This record gives sequence, structure tokens and C-alpha cells, in this order.
Amino acid sequence: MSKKMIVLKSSEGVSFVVEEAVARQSKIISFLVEEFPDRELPLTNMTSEILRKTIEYCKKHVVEDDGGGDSSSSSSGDLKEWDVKFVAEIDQPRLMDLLMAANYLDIPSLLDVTCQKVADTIAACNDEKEIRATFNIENDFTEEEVEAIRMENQYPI
Amino acid sequence: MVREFKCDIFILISLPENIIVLIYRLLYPSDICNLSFCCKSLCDIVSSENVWLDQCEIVKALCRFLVEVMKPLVRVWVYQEPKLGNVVYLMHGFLSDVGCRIIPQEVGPLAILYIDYDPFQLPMWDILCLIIMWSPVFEIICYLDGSTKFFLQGRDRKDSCLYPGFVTGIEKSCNVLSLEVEQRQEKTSSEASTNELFSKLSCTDKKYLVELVTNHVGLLHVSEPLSVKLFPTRREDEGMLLERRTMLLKMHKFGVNWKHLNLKEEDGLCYNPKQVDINEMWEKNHDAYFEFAATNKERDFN
Repeated sequence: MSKKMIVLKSSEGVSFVVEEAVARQSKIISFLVEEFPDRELPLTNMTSEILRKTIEYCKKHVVEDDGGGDSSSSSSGDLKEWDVKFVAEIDQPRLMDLLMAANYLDIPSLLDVTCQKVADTIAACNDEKEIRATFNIENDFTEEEVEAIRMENQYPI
Repeated sequence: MVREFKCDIFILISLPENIIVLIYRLLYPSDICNLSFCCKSLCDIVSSENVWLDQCEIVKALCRFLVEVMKPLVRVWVYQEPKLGNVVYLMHGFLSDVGCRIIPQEVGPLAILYIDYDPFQLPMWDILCLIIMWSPVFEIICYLDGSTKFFLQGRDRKDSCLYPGFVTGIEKSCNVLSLEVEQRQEKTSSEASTNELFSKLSCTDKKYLVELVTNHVGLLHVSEPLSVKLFPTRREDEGMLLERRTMLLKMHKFGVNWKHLNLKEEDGLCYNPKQVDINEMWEKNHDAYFEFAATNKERDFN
């Protein structure tokens, strides 16, 4: 029995052919597949690059889900490791895009992994200056304003 | 059409609110405060209630610990002759409750001499140290979810030892603290009533059973942060106390293998003090027990 394939089209018009099981990890695609069977699904707000990354993630996860059973516990550990590596390799702007894609396509596990990575990046910063530098944020506060917030938020000890 | 997700500046702000809430949920309050100092828009997001409602979960857990564990227990506990040192004073530790036995001291002429001589020469703390001596007996640690982890402190021959356990049945008006051995695994119906069995045992048998079980579950500790400080006195202590707390939580979860494991690993690696098979121990220590019991006239264990 041949597996059913689905065609996803990125904003650049590039078509990606993926197995239905892979694509169905996205709740939105799952819904669209049922509503519009045998049709190409245009994902106009996703670039080819991000769509490729998202499919890569879904492929890895669908394989592990299927192949489970006897070696499920070890593979779940491997999968976690793979996830960590997967997000570690992505640079920050792309990570944000992937986060948005996970949110848009409704893939909860990918959303968790990417959010955790962003949170880890924020937690790794010691102060607001480091956060600004890491996320390229412009400081629009005056000295007095910062002081006022600092007073307000003082950590009780 | 929302074409590009890409925007290098204000990336964090451009995220939809549901994602921001998801990310903030993974952060500590201090990280969130840092974020609020970054720029005005982030400051506005941080002041929204949603962000802090999630943070309240941790505070709620702490409050539960305060009300359910600290409030009924924090006071002086006395057993029979308080003068002989049977006084345990429970006080707040670092996210924990610590039970300290107060060791009775003869206030020697030296202490009085010091106080009379020149109280300003000697810091107050030193004077107190001369008069009050204490040693920790047990500690109840508050876990992140508000649950409790129990450690009995003790000695195994020469080394300090920690015995992980559980705290159960704290009532608001409780007035007795007791250390019991409870079988947690209910294998067969005849064994299910071990707990009742314990309360039926004679005093000596209880003592023996507790000794038997503690010998089995005890964890030696030699490393520094575990034995140094129990109570925060300066802000700089926080790091060390946090390290100690993590160590204890790991020890409670993983037992002897704690050093190589991470608290985040939820997979079935947990050490379980419950798994100590009392029956097996009885068999093993059978001869020793009867030798021990034969010397006691009041034995009523079958």
C-alpha cells in the first residue's frame, strides 16, 4: 500500500511533497486535509526555509512515533536529544520564525521546544543589557524611568 | 497576507500574546524583571496580569507549604524530660522546616564572665553560641509543586547520614510527632496492614524496626554544602543554600546514585525508598533480631 502524499506550498511557491502522517502532526494541516482532500495546500506566510525545517522536525517525530513499541523509552530520550540539537543549530531570527510557524500550524511539541529555547536564551542573560544585546532590542528608557521601574520591582529579601 | 515573520528588532515584542505567555511561564521572576528593563514595550507586557498569574503558581505552592506544614509544626516540641535535652525546636530554614534538638548546656562561669566583663567586646552571636547548642534532627523541604520531602538527620557510626522519608498526616491541631515505618507497597492483603502492625509493636520493637529500616535507606554525606549551613543569614548564602537544596532533592529522588542524575530526568530512574522490602530484611536479620529480642522481656511480636 503506498502512503498518501500531501503537497505543501511555501510563500515562494516551492512545493514540498510529504507523507500525510508527517503533515498531520500539524492540527491545522490535519484539518485542511480533511476539508480539502487531494489539493495542494498553500502556506503563504511560511518561507521555503522555515517550511523545510518544520517538515524536518515532523518527519523525525513521526518516525519515532511509528517505530515505538519495544525501544520506546530509549528512543524518547534520543528524540529529546535530537530536539535540543535541532533548536541549537538554528540562529535566532530563524528560531523566531520557526516558533511562529509552530504556532501558526499548531504543532504543540515544536512550539514547546522552541519556546524553551527562547526562555533558556533569556535566562542565560544576567541583566537587561545582555538581553538587549542578544535580542537586538533598542533601549527607549531614560535613566529616571529605569530607576522608577527598578524601585517598583525591587526583589524583596 | 502576513508574509514575513522575520524582523530583527523587537522580535520578542512582535510575538503573539499566547506565545509570550508560554515563554514567560518558563522563566523565573528575576528573568521577567530583567526583561521589563529592556524597553517600554516589554515593560508593558510584563506588567500585564497574565504573566504574573502563572508565576503565582510557584508562590501558591510555597503558601500551601507555609499553611499546611510550617504553621502546625513550627514551635517547640517536648518529650518527657525537657531538661535532658528532649526538646526539638522547629524553625524556618531555606525553603524548608528544620527540627533542631536543643542540647542542654551548663552555663559555665566563662559565659557569665564574658557577659559581665564587657558585652561590647564580644559580638552578641558569640555569647549566644556559648549558651545554646543545637543539632539538626530532621528537615522538611518544600518542593516546587508544594509537596514535601523529608530527611532525618543522623549518624552512621562516625559519618553523618541522611535518611529520606515522607511526611504524612499533618493536621492543624496535631500535637504528636512520631517516626514510623510504613510499608508503601501493598502486595498481598496480609501485608497491607503493616502500618497498623507498627503501632501495635512494643516500644523496643518499634525502635528496632526503625533502626533496621534507617540502616537500609541511609545516605552518607560528606560533601561540603550539605553539612555547612542550614539557615540563611546573609544574602550571599543564597547560592550555597540553593546548591544544598538541589543536592537534597536529588538525593531524595535518586538515592545513592544522585550525583550522576539530573532532577529534570523524569524517566523511571527514580530511587524509591519504598522498595525496601521489610520482609526480606526481617529474614536476613532474623537471627540478630531474636538475639536482640530475647534480652527483652516485654517482647510481644510473633
